[in-house]
Amino acid sequence: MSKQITIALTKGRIEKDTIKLLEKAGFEMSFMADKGRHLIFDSPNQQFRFLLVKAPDVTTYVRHGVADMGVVGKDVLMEHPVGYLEMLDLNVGLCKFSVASTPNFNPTDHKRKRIATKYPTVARNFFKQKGEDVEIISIQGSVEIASVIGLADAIVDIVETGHTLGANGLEVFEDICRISARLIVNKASLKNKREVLHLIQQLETVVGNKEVPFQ
Amino acid sequence: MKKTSLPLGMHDKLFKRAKVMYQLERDISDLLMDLGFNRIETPTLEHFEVFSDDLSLDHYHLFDKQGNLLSLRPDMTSQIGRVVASTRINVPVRFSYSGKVFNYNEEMRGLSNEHTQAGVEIVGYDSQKALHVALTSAKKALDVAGLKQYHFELSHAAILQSILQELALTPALEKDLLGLIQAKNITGLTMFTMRYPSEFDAFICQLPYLFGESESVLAKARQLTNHAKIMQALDSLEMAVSIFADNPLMLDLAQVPTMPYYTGMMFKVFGDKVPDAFVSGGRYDRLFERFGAKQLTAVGWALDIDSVYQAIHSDIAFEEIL
Repeated sequence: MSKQITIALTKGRIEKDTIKLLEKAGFEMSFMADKGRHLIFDSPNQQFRFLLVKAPDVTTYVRHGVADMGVVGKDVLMEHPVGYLEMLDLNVGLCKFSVASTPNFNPTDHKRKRIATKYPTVARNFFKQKGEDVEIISIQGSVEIASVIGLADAIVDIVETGHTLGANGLEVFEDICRISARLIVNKASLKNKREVLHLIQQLETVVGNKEVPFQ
Repeated sequence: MKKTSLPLGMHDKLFKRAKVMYQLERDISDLLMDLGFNRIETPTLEHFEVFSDDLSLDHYHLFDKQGNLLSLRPDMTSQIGRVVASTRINVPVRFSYSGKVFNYNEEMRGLSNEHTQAGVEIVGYDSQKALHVALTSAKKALDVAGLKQYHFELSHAAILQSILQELALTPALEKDLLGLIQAKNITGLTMFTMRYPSEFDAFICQLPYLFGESESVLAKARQLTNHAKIMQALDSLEMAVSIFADNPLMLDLAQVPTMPYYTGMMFKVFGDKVPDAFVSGGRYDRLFERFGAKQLTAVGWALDIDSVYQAIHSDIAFEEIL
């Protein structure tokens, strides 16, 4: 008998992209079309169970093994880097981490910079690797404002089209890294359920084993 | 007031959990002593250097009244290394132990920072024999604990060490590559070999898939490389598998050594219901070098009793005595 695979997804774009990938891999996914307020979905043949959760929680569910695998953005994985296998780049949800600020920002200024961000680990590691000590201000959202009104010298944030930055008078000064949705897997599930490895291989034939560059 | 709240990652155990955890620790400890291991008790607090040269964020640290930096022990292997290296104890010697170990996990993720471990260290014996004793004793410990579904998984530290030696990467790149291997990152490893091509490209790209039934893994791995040291490691894996023919062993060639002192065969035990390995162990000849002692062969394993409890508790009937 084949075992059911539990997959944790973030509601919204990642969920839609993942379902498209699974359809391309040949699975019938129409049971996910009408979600209503449900958070747990079983496929009619009991092959899959989907959990709709918040992005950082995908890593928690997979780490504890209550989900065998999950799909989540690299931005979230960089803030929560341990406890799971990051096996495949799904090449969807492409964007990048960048340093942005108002045009008068001087990156080579001598003073210790204040950086506002929703991603303190990413920001700290990036500046540390450049040998620069900065003060991180943790902001929950609408980070752009912090640098416009002078709370911070610059921001570290996700940039997809750059429209939000432009509309608020900010520009990108430096790119940190590419971001995309990743398939993460529980260590024991990979070893105990053949179906998990099989699904990964099917997804690999759809998305390939090479990174699609952003832009 | 924190009088009535527990520190992060700490848990009380009551009733069934308390009783069964105690029985597991006792039964496994008794078994190991019956098998001829010498019980050893090491202190909970040690100077931090015993466990790592640098301060590790995963360990608990505190100062004593002289200002020495101490660690709550995160494992007992390093402590036994210290004992053997710093005393005139006669080798070969076989130790068994059990007790609490402490690791600082990411906060508020439902993880325990205190675990009960039982394990063995086999010091100074011929390595083939020591590995055999280690594997059989681990199996007996799992059986006495009442674990039904589990499988052993072998790997060899020399495989990744040979690759790293030939590639001669910068320390930062080496860390990146090990991270990708540990995460079984299919895309990441392919991109890495495109950026830093070498004779190992095919082998590195296939590493995420090189686990499972030993026969097929070995056959696949031998097609991907003919590097002498890796072939040698594969041969010794095959020999270990053949010695244990009655207990089919799995392989995982992408197992990254969890401790830097691993040098040879490594093994883990996985089972249903538990998201991590029950047992991890292996051969480490460099453990004693850290303490300035002569080179000695050591093989050991540690079993996480909390994980065993998690796997078996639903099979155990228990009535609370009220």
